[in-house]
Order: sequence, then structure tokens, then C-alpha cells
Amino acid sequence: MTTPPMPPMPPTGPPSGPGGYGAAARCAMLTGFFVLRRCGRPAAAHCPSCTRAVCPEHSGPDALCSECRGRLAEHAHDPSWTYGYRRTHYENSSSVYGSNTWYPDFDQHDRNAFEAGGGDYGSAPGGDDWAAASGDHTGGDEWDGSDTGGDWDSGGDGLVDS
Amino acid sequence: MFWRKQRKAWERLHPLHRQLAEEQRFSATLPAAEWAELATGLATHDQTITKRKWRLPPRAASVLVPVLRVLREDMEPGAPLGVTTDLRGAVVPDKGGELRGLQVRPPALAGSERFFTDPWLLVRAELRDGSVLELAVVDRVRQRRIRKKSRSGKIKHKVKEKPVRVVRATRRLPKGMAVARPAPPAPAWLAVTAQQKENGRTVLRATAKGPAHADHRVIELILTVTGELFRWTPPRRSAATPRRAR
Repeated sequence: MTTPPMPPMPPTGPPSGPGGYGAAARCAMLTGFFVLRRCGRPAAAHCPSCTRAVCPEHSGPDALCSECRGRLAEHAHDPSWTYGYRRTHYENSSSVYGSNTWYPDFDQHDRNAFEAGGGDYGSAPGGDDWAAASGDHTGGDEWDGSDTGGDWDSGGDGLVDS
Repeated sequence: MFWRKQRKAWERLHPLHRQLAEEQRFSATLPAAEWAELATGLATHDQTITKRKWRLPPRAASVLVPVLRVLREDMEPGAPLGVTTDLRGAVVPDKGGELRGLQVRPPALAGSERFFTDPWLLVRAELRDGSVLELAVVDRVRQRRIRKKSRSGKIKHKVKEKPVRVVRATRRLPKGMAVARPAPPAPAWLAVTAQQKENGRTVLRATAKGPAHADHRVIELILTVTGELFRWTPPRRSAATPRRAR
């Protein structure tokens, strides 16, 4: 099996962001699963599928970037699986929260949502409205016996409710 | 015939990998990069080891490997990652509580009940944003044994088990990191609290409790519960944020 040729890097040109073409092109891959950050290492090639600049670490033997390879990975056995599953997970979580605007913001296609070259977490406006929820959680993590019903409580088992 | 190749492959495995296959449990704290190597070994176990005696429990591939891969992405290579896993199942003697009798009426002759607590995955990870993530997946199983007598005089023993799964994630933020309640609230089945500590740190906790699903759904639940904690510390937004067309 032959490896497809790596797309050439444009020699010059004004950089247009972390993934832009230019002498100082940086890897545009978004790393992490929950703590998202741009890779930012010097780019060595461009992904033939999405044309983003990628560093050697995020470029596989088939020249595809980790994210494009992850999209093809079906199982966690593939090291690139997290890159593909991140998108699936965030898209599915929109249905969990009943909102289609929150988690998709974190995706790589909205790279402008993150500060250039950063991605570090910062302060958010509206700070302490969470304080009302302080204290230990009341999520019922101890066995409270409240759900000991089910099919056992239906007649015929010979059990006596105590 | 004599498993020479298998034995050689077995000896090349990571010690924790071998321990998981033999005892179905391990507990260790290693640098994140070493866990990544272990995850790769666990993921390819079925291709290298075919001997039945050394087969891995199913949750190793369906839950443990994805969790290791996801956490590795959010950690520096040298950051410590502690994992305690016990994949023997919930109904084993040392995980059981006290046996207590049940009041019964005919046709039941006797009944007993026992609860098993199985914390089969405990993780502690120091993430690259300075926060510490702790994750616990605990199965609780109620087992009831009933002895019945049918009209024909036969004695029958029946066993019923009702498993409940609790996924709990805790994130201890670094000092000074601000939190804000996210706009779309968490669903009712996902309880979240934020607690301000005296040392200036904030502790976020998320807990979900429900019936024990099949293992291929566990990883989704784990990531949803854990991901909720990261919604409370959103990234900074630039002035103009184009939305992706959906």
C-alpha cells in the first residue's frame, strides 16, 4: 500500500489564523476532550481531506489529520477514536440538554469561539449565581430504599410488604 | 499446542494488563502517557491473546479503554492518573452486605435479601487546566432469594437481581477559577452542585443514578456526567462567534 503524497505547504503568504497558510503556520488541531486547546505546534503538512495545517504528531501515515482519521474510527481501539467521538458526543449531548447551541460551540468548526492560540478556560460573566446551589449534592447517591418496588411488589411472589 | 507463542505474547504485556486478565482487577497510579500505552495493549488484546484463560472482561474494552483514551487527551503526558477497577462483577461475596430475611406469605416459604455494592471504576486525574477530576462508577445490586412451594409440592428457588448504577464525577478547580451556571440547565436525572471551599477552590459535583444499562451505553453516561462539570467553566468567547449552520 502506497502512502498518498503529502500536500505541499505554501511557501509564503499572510497567516490567517492558527491554521492558516504561511511561513509560521501552526497546527490547527483542537486537542483534548473536555479541556479543549489548540495544538499550536509548527505545522508540517496539510490534511488532504480538510486542508488544515497539522503537525507531525497529528498527521497519520495516510496524511489525514487526527480528526479526519477519527471520523473513520468506529471503536476506541483506534488511537484517533477520541477525535471522532468528541464530535459525536457533543452533538448527542445537545439532545440531552435540549439545546442545539451549547455543545456544538466547542467543535473545531467554530474555532473562532476560542481565543487564537489559547483555548484556556477563563472567567465567565455572571459569576456567583451558582452560590444558591452550594452545599452537598442531593442527588440521592446513597441507597434510600425508595426504589425497592418494581416487579417484586406485584402479587404472586408471596412477599409481605414490611 | 503448548502455547509457546501465546506465552511469549503474554510476557510482553504490561504487568497491569496481565493482572487485569488474571484477577480482573487492578489499582495503580501512573503517568498519563503510560496509561496510553496500556490502553493500546488492552485494545489489541483479542488480536494477540487468544487463550481463553487470559481473556479480558468485556468492560475492559468497552469502558476502560475509552475512559483512558479520553482522559489522556486532557492530561499532560507526565501527569498522574490513578485508576482502580474491579471487573469481577457485582455479585461476589466480598462485595455483599448483610443478609436479611424477608417477610413472606404462601406460597413462598422463605425469602432473603442482600445488597451488593460494586465500585468497579474509580479514577483520579490531574487535568492540564489545573483541575482534578475524580470519577466513580458504582453498581448497586439488590438480590432477593425466594423459596416457594407449588401446589404439586415441588420446592422452587428463585433469585431476582435489580441493579442500579450511580455515576459520580467531582472536579476540583484551581484557585481563582470562576464558575457560572450554564444556560441550558442539566436534565433532572443529573444532579449538579457547586461548593465554594474556604481555600478559594470550587468543587463541582455531578451525580446520575439509574438502571444499569448495557456496557456500550456506560461510556456515554460517564462522558455526559463528566462533561456537565466542564459546562460550568466555559471558555472565553471572542467578540464575533459564527455559529455553524446545522
